[in-house]
Amino acid sequence: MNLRFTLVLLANFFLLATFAQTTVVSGYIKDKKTGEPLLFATVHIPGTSIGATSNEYGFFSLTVEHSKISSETISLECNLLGYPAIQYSIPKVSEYKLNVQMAEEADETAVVEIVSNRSGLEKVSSAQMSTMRIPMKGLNRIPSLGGETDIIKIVQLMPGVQRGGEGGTGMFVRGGTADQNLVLLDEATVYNIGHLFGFFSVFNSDALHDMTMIKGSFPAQYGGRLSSILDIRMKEGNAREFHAAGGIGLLSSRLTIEGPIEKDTSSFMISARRTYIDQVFKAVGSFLPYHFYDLNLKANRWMGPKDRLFFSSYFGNDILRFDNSDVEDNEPDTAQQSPFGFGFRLGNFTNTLRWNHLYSDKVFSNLSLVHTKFDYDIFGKFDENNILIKSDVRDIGIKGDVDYFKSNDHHMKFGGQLTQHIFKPNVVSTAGDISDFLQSRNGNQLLSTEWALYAASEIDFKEGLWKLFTGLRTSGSFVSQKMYAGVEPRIAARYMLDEFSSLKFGYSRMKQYMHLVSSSSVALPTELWYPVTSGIKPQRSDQVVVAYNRFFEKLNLNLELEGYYKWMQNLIEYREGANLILNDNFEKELLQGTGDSWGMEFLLQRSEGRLNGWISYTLSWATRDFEELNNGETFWAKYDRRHNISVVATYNLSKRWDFSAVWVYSSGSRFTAQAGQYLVPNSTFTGVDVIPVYTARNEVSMSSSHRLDVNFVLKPRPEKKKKFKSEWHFGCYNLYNRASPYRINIAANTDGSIGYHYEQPGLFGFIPSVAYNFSF
Amino acid sequence: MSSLDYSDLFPLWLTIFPFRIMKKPNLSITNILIKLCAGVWCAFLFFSCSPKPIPIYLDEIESLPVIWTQAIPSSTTLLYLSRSFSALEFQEGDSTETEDLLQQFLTEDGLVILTHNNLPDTLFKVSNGIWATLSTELIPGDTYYLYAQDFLNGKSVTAETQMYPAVVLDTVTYSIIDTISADVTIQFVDPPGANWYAVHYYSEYADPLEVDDPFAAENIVETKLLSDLEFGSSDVSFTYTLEFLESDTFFVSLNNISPEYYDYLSQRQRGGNIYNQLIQEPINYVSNVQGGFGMFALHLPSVRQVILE
Repeated sequence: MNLRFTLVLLANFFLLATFAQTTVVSGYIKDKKTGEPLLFATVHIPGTSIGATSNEYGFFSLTVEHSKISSETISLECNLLGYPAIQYSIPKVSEYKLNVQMAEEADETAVVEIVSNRSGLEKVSSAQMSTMRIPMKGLNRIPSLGGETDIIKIVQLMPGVQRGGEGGTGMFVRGGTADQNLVLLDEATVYNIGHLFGFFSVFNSDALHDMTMIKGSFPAQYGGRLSSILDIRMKEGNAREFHAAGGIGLLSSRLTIEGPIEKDTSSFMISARRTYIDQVFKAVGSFLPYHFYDLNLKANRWMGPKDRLFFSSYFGNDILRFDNSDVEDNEPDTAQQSPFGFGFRLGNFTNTLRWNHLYSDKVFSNLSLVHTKFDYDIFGKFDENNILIKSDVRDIGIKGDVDYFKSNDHHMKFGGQLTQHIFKPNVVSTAGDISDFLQSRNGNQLLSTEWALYAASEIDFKEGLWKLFTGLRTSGSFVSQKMYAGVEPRIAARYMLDEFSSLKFGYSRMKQYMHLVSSSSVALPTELWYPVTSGIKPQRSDQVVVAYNRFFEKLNLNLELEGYYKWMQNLIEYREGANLILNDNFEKELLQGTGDSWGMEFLLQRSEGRLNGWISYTLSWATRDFEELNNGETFWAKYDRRHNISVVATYNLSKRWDFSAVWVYSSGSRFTAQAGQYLVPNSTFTGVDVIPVYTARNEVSMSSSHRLDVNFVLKPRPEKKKKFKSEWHFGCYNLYNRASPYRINIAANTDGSIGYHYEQPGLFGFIPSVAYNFSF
Repeated sequence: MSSLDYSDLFPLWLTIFPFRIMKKPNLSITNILIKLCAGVWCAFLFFSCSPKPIPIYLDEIESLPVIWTQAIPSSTTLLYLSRSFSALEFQEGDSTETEDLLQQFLTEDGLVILTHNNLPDTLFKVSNGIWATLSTELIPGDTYYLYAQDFLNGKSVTAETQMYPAVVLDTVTYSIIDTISADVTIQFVDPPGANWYAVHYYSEYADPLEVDDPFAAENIVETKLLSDLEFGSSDVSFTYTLEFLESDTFFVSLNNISPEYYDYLSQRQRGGNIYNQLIQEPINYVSNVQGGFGMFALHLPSVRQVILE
């Protein structure tokens, strides 16, 4: 009986499906000028809730039921922030290919486009939360350290993201650690995101298209880190015209060239950047043998109407080389005398080959082959002694994703990935007498295979009142004859309170199968990545998020309020005094414990108009529990900062001048300060040791830090329609020269009295900058 | 919010720019232009400033009693009693005489009681900060209790430890590598149960009772810590390369110590690593003293003298 009933039901379903009159509209949304795909643009029927959004490759699919459209044709409207809406009228046919070409607004003063997820109403109606999408356009208006536009520094201005040391690229998201952020550049993992000891990120803003950051309620296609995903996409290259752009700053210069290989079929982009601190020093007769450079390359080609290939690559290095050969030009005498040499090189190399394929108007797939490598060499020499230390981590992986646009109300996504990690830490080569103490060795190479499978579904129901996002990810790692595997459920729901506001809820579990071997908050070239082993369990987090979104249409303002709680298991810390350098057995130094973080985030932003920017506020707590640390008592996480405020504003002063300012405020980060001391005989009773007494771990909260950065941009005269355009940026960092404390020192009194006092030094004071940018 | 006070500002970047543009006489136009640009670059950074450090007040920790013990063969036990003090009162490298500093924090008036088998033994004061007993016998395996009070601040501490049996150094042999180093091998029998050892290597002139400069312990060569968890058998042979021998005579002392004291010494060795001091989380040293700091440890060394030939 039941079987018969089911068969009848299925038959009815297929009949309905067959005879329902629908039009499937699908295609790509592109920038009219460059031919580059536009991500997360919306296509919808005005006055209805029928709509679709382009995916990360610009593809969309919209199914329109004729019964819901009274007119003879179907009216469609395409929207994207910064682009005027375009309307189309298409016939009621079963399938319709629509490639949308959106032209940017003529008003180039509409500058900073920071949108959290999507703009305007799209952000309200999406089930996704804790997500920020940052297009690169206009970001160079925002003031920055040394005038170097840096996407990571922009991210640090968003709610829920704590910066590490001042000026650094370290990120601590919702109480997590720096190695809990997965940074993807065109799907390849970037293991080291900092140049110059982390003061600048490796991402050349000229080469980037946009970035999406997710810090909670993670979609099922993402995993591998506990705290955040930074999905950065490079520009694809202008498929219609050749263009070049570049800039000369105080610290580095850059040049980007892009253009069609075959118009509208294939294009390329190549971008290079190099710092010239070493050359400036050389020019003034001094010597600083350090420089960094990076190179981004991307090419793509349509192989037919349904297939497209992409290849992208990044290559960058930091190089410090202090030896005689570099000194010779300037200091020949020193060169002859100096027996000392020291240096390092560290760098990333990533390659991604992607294939987009359209199986039908409703099924889109992407297959990626990924290779990434992070390695460093450190060398030193003294007289006849030489030492070379090398470490590297390499990944080779394959990843597949399928989008199935089942209907306007139901979008499915599924896929998987398989990555082989190859770790080779601490390869040591020595020569001379030093070999007696430190013998050459090949290090312990370790292989780890990480895999994941996922399926996700996004369903609208009750006429768009509810949206439910469900996903399931299974992941695992096979390493040292040990298999770890786990299930990571993801769920999110959105309820529309009215047309302009919504409530959201999300839960996600994340697992992490590798970690950074570092017990320091300073970015050092000696840091290693290492996988879980039989003794080190994968880290795990469970996070719940509730959110309220509202769009104030008249003011063009978006408001986001989010609250979260995150439980973290198997977190990693190191024993007090652990020596991690050249230590092949650092597993013994490792401790695992738990952590909790919770807080509330506020974001009010205006993405368009003469005055735009955002105000963000974060109220947060983060704790750790490790049996072997702090006498087993709960302690604050290093970057537990109670209050964080960022105010970012860009104002179009006139046709030629833009002004922007950033004001940031943070409660002080945590510090373990020396509070006392005592004297005891040393272990052999031949002397006295002074033993310091410290506060409980991270007990002291340093003073709050705040600073104001400003930037002025002088643009070319608008009446001049030259192809060559240039603009000057004049800015300064930390205008009122306030120290941002990074540690607590004990210093001798300077007021004439005898004794000592505590003081908190800062790293960067008032720093002016000037930069010249051009394009043609 | 601090205002911009240029009188206090330190040109951060300028310190790394020794201007020597005019040093070389025959400059080409290109070179002049390059150097001019570099000069403009430097001029920009000239206006960069390092920010003034922000003072902060931290609560001073309470001054607490600090104890340390030393067991000497012939049933003498010494106890050192002092007080902890603020981090702001002294920093290594300042001009305070170490002897003055010691005197300042040694306990002048106090009470020290060592209890064994429920028999309390009140120690007699030898000098400021040093108490001693000649009457309490140190029996391996027995537990000892300590009570100490500093009359100046009224604070008292208690501690408990076990007397660890002395393990005899059976042999000490060496193999000379060159003029400044030798492989030194010690052999001993590891008693049943879990044991922890501190092996001290002294040069010839080390004198445990001679403390002219308490901070200068240059006559110690090295301390190595061993745990019998690392040993394959009870017959232990351990070789260590001694470097920079200043004389042809040295001493080796083997101490069978408590696990707490082993942890303390391990921490001292880790904390003494300059790399760790600079960039890692600081270490709060373990203590088995309730209500204060220090270590109550009773063990007797086995010492051997070696003359290199």
